Amino acid sequence: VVNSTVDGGFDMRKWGTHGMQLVTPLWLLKYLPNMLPCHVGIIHDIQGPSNTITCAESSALIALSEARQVVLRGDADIALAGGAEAKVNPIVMLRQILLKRSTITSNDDPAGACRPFDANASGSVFGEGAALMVLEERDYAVGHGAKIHAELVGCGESISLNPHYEKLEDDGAGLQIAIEKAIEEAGIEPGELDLVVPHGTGIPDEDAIESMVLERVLGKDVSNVPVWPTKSMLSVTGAASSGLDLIAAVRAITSGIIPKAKNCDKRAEGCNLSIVSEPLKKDVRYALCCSYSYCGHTAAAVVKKYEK
Amino acid sequence: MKQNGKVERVVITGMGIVSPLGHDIETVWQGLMTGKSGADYTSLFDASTFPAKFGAEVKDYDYRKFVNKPELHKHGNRGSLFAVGAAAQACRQAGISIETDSPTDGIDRRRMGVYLGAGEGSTKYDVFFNALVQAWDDEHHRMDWAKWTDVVLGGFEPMHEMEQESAMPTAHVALLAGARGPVRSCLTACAASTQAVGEATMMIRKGDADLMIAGGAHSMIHPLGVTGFIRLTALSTRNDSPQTASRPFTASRDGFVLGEGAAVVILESVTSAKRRGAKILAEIIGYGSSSDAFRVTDMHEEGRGGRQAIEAAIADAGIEVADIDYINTHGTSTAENDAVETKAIKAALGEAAMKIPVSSVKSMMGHLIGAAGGAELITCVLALRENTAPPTANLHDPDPLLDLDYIPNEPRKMPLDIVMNESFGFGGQNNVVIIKRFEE
Repeated sequence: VVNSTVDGGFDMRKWGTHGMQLVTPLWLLKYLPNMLPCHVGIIHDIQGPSNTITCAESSALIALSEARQVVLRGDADIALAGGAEAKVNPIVMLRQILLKRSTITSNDDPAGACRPFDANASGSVFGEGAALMVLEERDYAVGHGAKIHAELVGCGESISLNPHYEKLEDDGAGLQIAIEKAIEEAGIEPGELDLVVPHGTGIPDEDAIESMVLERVLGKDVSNVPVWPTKSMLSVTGAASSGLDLIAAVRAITSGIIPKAKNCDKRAEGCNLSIVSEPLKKDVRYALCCSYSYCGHTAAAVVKKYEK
Repeated sequence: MKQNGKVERVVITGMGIVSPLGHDIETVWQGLMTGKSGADYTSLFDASTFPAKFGAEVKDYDYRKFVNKPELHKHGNRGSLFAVGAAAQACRQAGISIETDSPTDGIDRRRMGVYLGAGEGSTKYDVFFNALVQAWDDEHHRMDWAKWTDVVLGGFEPMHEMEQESAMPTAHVALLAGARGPVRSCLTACAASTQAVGEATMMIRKGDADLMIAGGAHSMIHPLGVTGFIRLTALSTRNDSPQTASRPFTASRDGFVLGEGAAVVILESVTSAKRRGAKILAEIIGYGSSSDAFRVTDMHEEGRGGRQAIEAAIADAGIEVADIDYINTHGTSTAENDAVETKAIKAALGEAAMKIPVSSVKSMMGHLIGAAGGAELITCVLALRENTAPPTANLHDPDPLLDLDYIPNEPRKMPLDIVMNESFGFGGQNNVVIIKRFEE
């Protein structure tokens, strides 16, 4: 870009003759989101269907839902699904600051900055990561002796319809529809959930809406169902985040332990969720993961302890 | 979907398009029938010194003509606004209520979804580039990010930044129609909207939705998008003749012509369409998807992935290869695609390939990238309606190594019942959809 200036300002014509020649030839292929699965596919010679869901934070759960459909309809025996994103770059960080989603008051305490459902929450923290899972049709997995970690038994999706696209709608209807669909597909009652991993960003307005939705869904069981937000530790990792949450839920199922929620020392006013305040030994049979994106997309999934 | 013995047939009940050849279905079809080109010198920014100085832009488009509540979309990126116009057309044709909390079409909004192959918005390039210039610390040869932040904080607008998310077109379309079912956005490069249509079809078959608003929206005609394709040497540089630059299957083809636009179809279960009395335009009978798993830059030389996707779509449709009456190719006008695609078709169809006419409407419309497959699906439906296959324009010097029937230069009247649409994307993404004239 600095090779494309005239009189100290950027000049598009000079970019055309000079600047663009310095752009690495494969730049666009670093930028296209579908390059992630393409690299993975090349490494492992995966020739079946491949898709790249670009629904921000809800992407991983939607990808898992679609991959599950692909496997169940017989178009693949095994699917690799999840999400990956690197949000730690100046442009993306700045975008979150402009949209008032990032905390800007916690620079002296990065580890304590993201405080989902906490009275002192001031916004979210953005990060990077990847979370991938191998999905197989149950009988196929049993047939080749695979170790089964958990069963994906319910998926639900919808969208928040808000003319202010960057915010959840006030009544949380889109999030509630996704959660209810996932629970319904799992064939259980909300009270049968042993764990909820909420989206919980640490953005006070959004946590309040999610909290309200979960209270509506859980009804009287809200006092019994443990809620374990993870973004205080993992941060908002974009497309990876709902995948990381699902893995966290599966580990809670396989270990029988729900870890303590971090940075939620004093519940925000109006939040009646049973946030896990101490590590909890618990036989987790059904866990619900919730997500929504800052474009509005909502997705939820229920995973079940594998029982022969 | 064979689960539980229930297989929902999926049909198209509405279509809408915003493309370099026009902003409505009939104008686009007329353009295709008369061999019109959507290409011209780039006007969206100063590309006069670029190695490729032209593209196929959507001209004179105003999304406000398509909606009653334009303020809901005023921040929309180019792709989002194209999507809003195309979706509004498609919904109107299908009799779907839009922009209302009290729809009268009898469709349960929780059973109505959206699935687009959609691309990112573009940044404010003047601010972006000048911020980089101002924040460059020449003495230490590095970026001064604190200074950069100060500059862009003053120049970037929050909602404009938001609109760079490639999922935004789906958010606009969902809001337009009030859709509360599954809303998905995918970006598998140039194959994205065919994948969106295919997966949306599968969702209806499975029973996850009764109706899906599906297709694609994309605009990469901005300085960095064009630069990216130029650096990949993917674009035609025939700067003396933009209108004849896209010339698929010729010996002189030298790259594709970058286009932009949106194309939306209403996919619906037959049960839902009949219950509402909607007019059925065509049936989606087959979908196949595969990956080359070969190279990020190149297609597999023998068209392995393309062949697999074609075979999967034919198997899904339950038809014989000879049943296919016409193939709408990906046909980009790059040396590689047109040769590999021809190989893939021949490998998948065998001897029948020599008898099946194929063409590329990219010769006229340009390459709509994420929206290409959707726009081409619409041309397939129109081809069925008119019993006329669109031509490959600019095909005057056929590549002697490519030997299919490419329908050169003139549309061809012929009975059409089953038509196949192919889309291939960077990274080895292959998606194929087969449609059929609807019969009870």
